[in-house]
Amino acid sequence: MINYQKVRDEVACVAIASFSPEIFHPSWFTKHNLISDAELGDDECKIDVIHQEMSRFGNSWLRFEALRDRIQISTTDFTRSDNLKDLLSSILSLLTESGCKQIGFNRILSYNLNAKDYHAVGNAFAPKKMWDNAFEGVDDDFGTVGLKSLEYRLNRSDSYKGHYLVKLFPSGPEEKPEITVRVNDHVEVRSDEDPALVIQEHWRDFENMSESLVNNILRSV
Amino acid sequence: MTYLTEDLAPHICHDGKPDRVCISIFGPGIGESILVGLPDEGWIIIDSLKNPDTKRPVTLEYLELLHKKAKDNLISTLATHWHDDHIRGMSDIIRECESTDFFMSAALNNDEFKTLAYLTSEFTPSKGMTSGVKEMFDILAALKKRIPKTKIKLASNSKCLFRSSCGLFELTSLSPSDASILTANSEFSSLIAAQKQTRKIVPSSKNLDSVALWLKTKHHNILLGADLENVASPNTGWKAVISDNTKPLGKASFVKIPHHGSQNAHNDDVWKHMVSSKSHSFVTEYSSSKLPRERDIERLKKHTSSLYQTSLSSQKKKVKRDKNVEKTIKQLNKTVKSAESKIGQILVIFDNEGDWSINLNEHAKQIF
Amino acid sequence: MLNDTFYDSINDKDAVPFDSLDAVDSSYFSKKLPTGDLENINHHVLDSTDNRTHVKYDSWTASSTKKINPHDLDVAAELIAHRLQSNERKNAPQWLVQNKWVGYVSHIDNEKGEFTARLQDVTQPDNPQEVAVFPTEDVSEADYDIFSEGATFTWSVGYSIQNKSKVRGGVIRFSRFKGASEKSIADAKKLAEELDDLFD
Repeated sequence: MINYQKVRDEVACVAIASFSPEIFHPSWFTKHNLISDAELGDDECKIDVIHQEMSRFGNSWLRFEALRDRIQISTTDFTRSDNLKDLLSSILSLLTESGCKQIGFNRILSYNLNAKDYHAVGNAFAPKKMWDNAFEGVDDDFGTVGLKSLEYRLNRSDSYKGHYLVKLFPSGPEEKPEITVRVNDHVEVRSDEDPALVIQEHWRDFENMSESLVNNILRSV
Repeated sequence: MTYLTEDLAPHICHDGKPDRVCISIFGPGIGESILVGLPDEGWIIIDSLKNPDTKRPVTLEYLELLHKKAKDNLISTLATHWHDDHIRGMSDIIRECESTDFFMSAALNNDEFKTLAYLTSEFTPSKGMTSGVKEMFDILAALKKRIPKTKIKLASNSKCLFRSSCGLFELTSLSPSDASILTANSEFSSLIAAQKQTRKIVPSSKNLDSVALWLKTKHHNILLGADLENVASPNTGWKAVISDNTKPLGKASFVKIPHHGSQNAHNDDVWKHMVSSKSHSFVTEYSSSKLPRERDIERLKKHTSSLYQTSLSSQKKKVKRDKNVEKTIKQLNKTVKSAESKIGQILVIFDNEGDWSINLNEHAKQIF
Repeated sequence: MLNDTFYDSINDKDAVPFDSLDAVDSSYFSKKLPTGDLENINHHVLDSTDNRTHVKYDSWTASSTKKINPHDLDVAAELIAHRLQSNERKNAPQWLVQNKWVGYVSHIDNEKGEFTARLQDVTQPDNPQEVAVFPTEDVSEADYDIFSEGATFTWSVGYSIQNKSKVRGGVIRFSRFKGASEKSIADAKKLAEELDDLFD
């Protein structure tokens, strides 16, 4: 079994619906008490753009982006995961006319490994030996083979409509190899479901599922 | 948890109905539930808590163990107040026992409480962590679905809730007082207003709308104190009970101590005028507030001849976590502890001659 | 922060439509994008909290067109986003959480400067509910306005990582799930009236 140590844990959530990006000025959020004044004050908040087509701003823990057809919020601070849940579900509760039909819950986990275990992961999912055969007849000095990325789609086993996409790829510099696993938990919101409630009710399962999925994958190497 | 059934079931239950007067008090460290059996009549459930292992109301589980027909003889279910530690799982009882009557405090029969129930019905920060208001909403929703409709019966001061056909047993509510009912309206209004800023768990309020009960049997009176508190106002809480001249007469020989033995539920006049000097008392633990405290037990020693407790903080349900995580927690906050103890049961059985026995499962203890 | 006049202009339904934007004055700041090459674009965007800055659209793309092609906006936005993310990700705080609880404030003791909370372990959900006492100074200043009995929060313990240093710690984050609107209260009141037939 390999040894791995978590070095990064990011959460992002995307809601696909119709929006007017220009409304998402930080003051809109403080007006509705969705984020505190202190966290969106001049010293804390960086506005990139507020525009009809796109709005983006961020503070020490939040990245917010809105386009006409989606909102994406993300954080690299996992202790803020529930704040993301509350923020997105509150936005959808306020903007009921947006007609949200799809929600993407995303977790990006990065792990540090030693070189041996790093290669063992790649070799487990895409055995290098198979690629030796692929290059049969070609000059032996052709070069080494390495896994660049691997993506799986899994069907859901819960009551929601949708699927999971899991992508595994190497990250980090050569001297400090890392593996990153990105889990996309995609939910199709049914017509009788309230997307804000779906986010509230599903969030914990998404957190636990994404963590245990990745652990199960890496422990199987 | 071991329910007290194997040896005792034949003594207390025949063909699904109680054979003799028996009272079971259950308590796990958060919450309490009482099951009263009245011979030839049936069972009454007062408050509810869930078995954390099975997620079912302990009173229903116990009835099922006593006899397969016991649940069919459930006469009434009563919620003494809306705090979640007293009514968890009660909506399951209402759903499973379709013919049972339901009693609740008259202080909850107002638009404000019902509005609050609807407003907070969907807000659940975590599975298993809900407000009692949510459970009340589930109870009301379950009752609404019943066909034919069951009318909710309201408990208030000096109201007879149940009288047996033979006249030997009578269950009377001692509270809430008229003044408490009026105060409740404004309390619920401010709880609604508090939901406007951000959604919250509805915090527990002062227990002035709690229903204290008086059970009269042939030989004994039993005072079930619920969580009723003693406050400055003479028109609310225990002071209102004392000053109520229409309440049942006599003294209680058995007492379920109100509000987990806390000082703020103590009233000397209750002990002096309503309870026998040789009474036997029962208390349920409330571990979040470390009740009953040592000083509460010392105080109770002056008023009652024996005290039994359903569960002890030494019997906490164990938390299972990684050693490294526990190390981190200890470094950051030494006060974190399990709020749930193993469920204790105290079973008091009265025979037809007025003799009685107090039986404890492995978690309940006699304190003095 | 930008003033009310500026905020109103975002909601201005008569604002100049996107596809015919020319250089405009500062009252249309919300619809402007910075001029110049990409480095300057970044610089202006990052300084966009200055409400007196106004720039012209017409030199946004290399072709110096007065009309802005939506595709060019997308490309530019992507480039900015990538640059901002790669810069900011390096410095953003990170937590490696070992365990998390959801809790609510059951009692506040102002005299002792502490609050009691009921906790549910969400990392190991089979664990029983727990209770803990926290000093009120553990509450972030940003959460003071919502700190009250009944307020829900998460408590995470683990390691915080910033600038390569790793420190064991814990943090409390309070929930700001949208409060009840007047409409939802009115709707709840209406539904509550339907319960009247349960009572005599």
